[in-house]
Amino acid sequence: MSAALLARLREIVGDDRCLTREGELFAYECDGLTLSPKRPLAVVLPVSAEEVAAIVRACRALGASFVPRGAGTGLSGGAHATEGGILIECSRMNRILEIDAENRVAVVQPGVVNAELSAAVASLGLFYAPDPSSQQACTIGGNVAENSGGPHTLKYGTTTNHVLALEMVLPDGSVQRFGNRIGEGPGFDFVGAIVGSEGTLGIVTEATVRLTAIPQAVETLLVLFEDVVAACRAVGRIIRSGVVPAALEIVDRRTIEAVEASVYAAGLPTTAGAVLIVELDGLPVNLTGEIEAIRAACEAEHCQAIEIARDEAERKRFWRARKGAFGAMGRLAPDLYVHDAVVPRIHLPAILAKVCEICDRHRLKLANVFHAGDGNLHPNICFDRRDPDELARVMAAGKEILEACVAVGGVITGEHGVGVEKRDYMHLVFGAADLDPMMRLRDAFNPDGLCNPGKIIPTTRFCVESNPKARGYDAVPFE
Amino acid sequence: MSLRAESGAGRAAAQGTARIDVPGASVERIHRPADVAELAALLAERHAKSEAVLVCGGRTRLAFANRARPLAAAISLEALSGVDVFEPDEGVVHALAGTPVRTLQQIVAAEGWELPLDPPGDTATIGGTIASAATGPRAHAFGRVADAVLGLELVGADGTPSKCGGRVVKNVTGYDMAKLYTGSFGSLGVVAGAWLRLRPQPAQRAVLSGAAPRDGARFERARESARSASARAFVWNESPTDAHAELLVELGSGEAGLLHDRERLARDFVLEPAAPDAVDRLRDARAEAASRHPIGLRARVLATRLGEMREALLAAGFELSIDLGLGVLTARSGEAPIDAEGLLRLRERAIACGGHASFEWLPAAGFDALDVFGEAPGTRALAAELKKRFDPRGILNPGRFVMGS
Repeated sequence: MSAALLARLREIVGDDRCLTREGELFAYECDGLTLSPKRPLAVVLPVSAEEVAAIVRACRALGASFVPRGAGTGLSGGAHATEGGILIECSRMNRILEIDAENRVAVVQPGVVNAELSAAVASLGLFYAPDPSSQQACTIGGNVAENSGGPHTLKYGTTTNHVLALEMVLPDGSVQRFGNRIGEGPGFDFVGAIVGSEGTLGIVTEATVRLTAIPQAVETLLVLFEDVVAACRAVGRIIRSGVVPAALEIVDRRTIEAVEASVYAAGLPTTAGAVLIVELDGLPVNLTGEIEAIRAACEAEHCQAIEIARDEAERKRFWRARKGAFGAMGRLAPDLYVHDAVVPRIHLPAILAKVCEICDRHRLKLANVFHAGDGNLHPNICFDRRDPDELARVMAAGKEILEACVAVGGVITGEHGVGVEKRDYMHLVFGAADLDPMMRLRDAFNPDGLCNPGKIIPTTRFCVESNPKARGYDAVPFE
Repeated sequence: MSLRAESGAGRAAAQGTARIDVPGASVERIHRPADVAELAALLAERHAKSEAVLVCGGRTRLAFANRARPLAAAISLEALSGVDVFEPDEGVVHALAGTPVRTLQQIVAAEGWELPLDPPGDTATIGGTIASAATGPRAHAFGRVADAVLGLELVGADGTPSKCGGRVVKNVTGYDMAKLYTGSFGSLGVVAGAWLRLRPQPAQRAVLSGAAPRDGARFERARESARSASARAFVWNESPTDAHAELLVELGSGEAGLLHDRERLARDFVLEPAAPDAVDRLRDARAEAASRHPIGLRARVLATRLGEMREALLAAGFELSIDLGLGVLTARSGEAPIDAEGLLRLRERAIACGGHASFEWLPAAGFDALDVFGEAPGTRALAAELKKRFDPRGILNPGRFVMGS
């Protein structure tokens, strides 16, 4: 089967875009989740929807599973290959096909890099709003698969709020379009269901996305607090004040220390227990009043200092601390487990204290940098995977953190997705009756389960009988 | 302009009757479950007997449907009502499906929040609004119904309760099932409750109206003005026989922002303060116009093609109420006769303008073959597969949704 499939794939894309050598496959063993690598049989690099469709049909004909992949920046293993399956890498489908400035719409191939789309439309006074931290590398196709968010989700929403239409190769190898340029058509909202489906319903080959007008004015504030809990309380006050900032981000002391010791150094005082970055945008005449409301909320929580960016350079400096945080954490330990969970914002102070307690108890080094305005935590656990005992403690702490978040009404992922990382934690949020409609949806698109098997829907415990579609992805070390 | 005001007498009378009439069917047996368990038991029983049911809320949108296949009973969710969680510090609320939208709006407004739903009709319910994705002029600021839905509780066709989404404002835990259920007109499951995201009330609000010449240049200028930062609703009302159009604008912002936008609008239009509830009254009048206008059509097209679609509808004799910022044209038939083929041509025009058109209501005779929603090209098989997997015995609102699902 393997030889026949590889021969067919080479017919479709040619030898140079069908990777099979050990050294080539090594680079595709995982995405941003590095703990459970899987080696595909081959990686193919299509350049068109027709090629993707032909690849899918070839896989189906021989019963091989296939997994779509963008830039591989995902953190939940959604783009992990299955053992012996085919990885379909879409990054070479990277053309911006159309920009319709008047209607604020862009049509792009899935391999277009997120930040490059915004750069391409900036001169028109527009930008693409979803801005995940990996936006310099991640692709629109990957963003669609994961329903990616980012710091500015608070005001602008996640990817789902910005996707109007999709072209997709269905798991049967047909090419289908969903939606239209106004984002509203007859029938079921297939676009809404596909966004965030982690590549399990098909392979997106074109996306029509909404562009947003660059705001007339932006004000960025850097607020220092004695500790992260006080910063969280200030976030609660801001939410209640009626002001909707574009972003509300918290960086804790350990992260500040890592950033300041790195190439991302932004001149933040390492004496602060936490930094709250507040970004406001909109009409210039409105921002003065909003700044005062933010100031009042932060002062009520005894902030140490408030700085307002004086110019664009200073604004970028503030953001450098936030966006460079994950890279800077490489200084703290060889490995970093970036968790992702969401709680109701009113529970942020208590859950932060709980997360710290959990990591202290497990003797783990914790750094927090997160989207506080959305209640979206990113507890970052620094560790060394070569120490099996420490790895076990990382996993145990991660599970406890998720359980604590769910216990206060939260969920196990806000923007990284379920993938394989959290697949077997789905039961913390959903029972079998809740998962059943999800399986019905998946099976309507992907009835034989060859498209990105083993992701999202649990395959262990109570669901093992009902989900035989995890071929090649049954054993995951996330327990 | 006649779309501006009409009493709700027709709707009130319909609610008083024991019989519910919908396109293609009537039903006299009406169940009113008081809790989710009762709703689940009702559906399980109907599923076991393969008996079809009509599911309804405030009955404001029952006419907007294809012809139903035979119905054994109706399930009205009006008794499944109440707000059980409201967290003013979080800006999130949970309500049961039968809760009237207006009631919920009042509850959250008392704490400085706004429910970003704007369906027509005083009796519109949370469940009905979600099921039909009903919007109004304020969708300009509020966005889609789905944008407000954080999580849902549902009861499946076989009576199995389930939930999707959650109560937090950001969530990618599993498939976004709420998107699929929202706007599916109860064809995949019955919405029993919803977690909804609120938005802060604007610090200040202004409602303005005025007349404008009905020429294309002025229309385009109004369309540009609708992109104003603080616009919540921006409506252009006109009839083919009127000399002038009416502009109705609702702004919401901080004091300085409001002043800024008012001054900007004043450069192009003479607008005077209007009644605070003028947008509400217009929204409801548009929905209640069935007694005087045999055909109700709603089109949405690209901003740059709005003028073209407007011309086509005016030429066909329709009165128009156009949400300029949304590109939505609410059209009500006038004196000029139009047949099914004429309506389909208007739908084709809307599609050519990058959008779509649906028929909100139609005369009882002569239009039976029309699919009021239209068809998304190529999705018929997938839609049928989805319906079959969610409602294998076809008991939920059979025939009423798109492509007869």
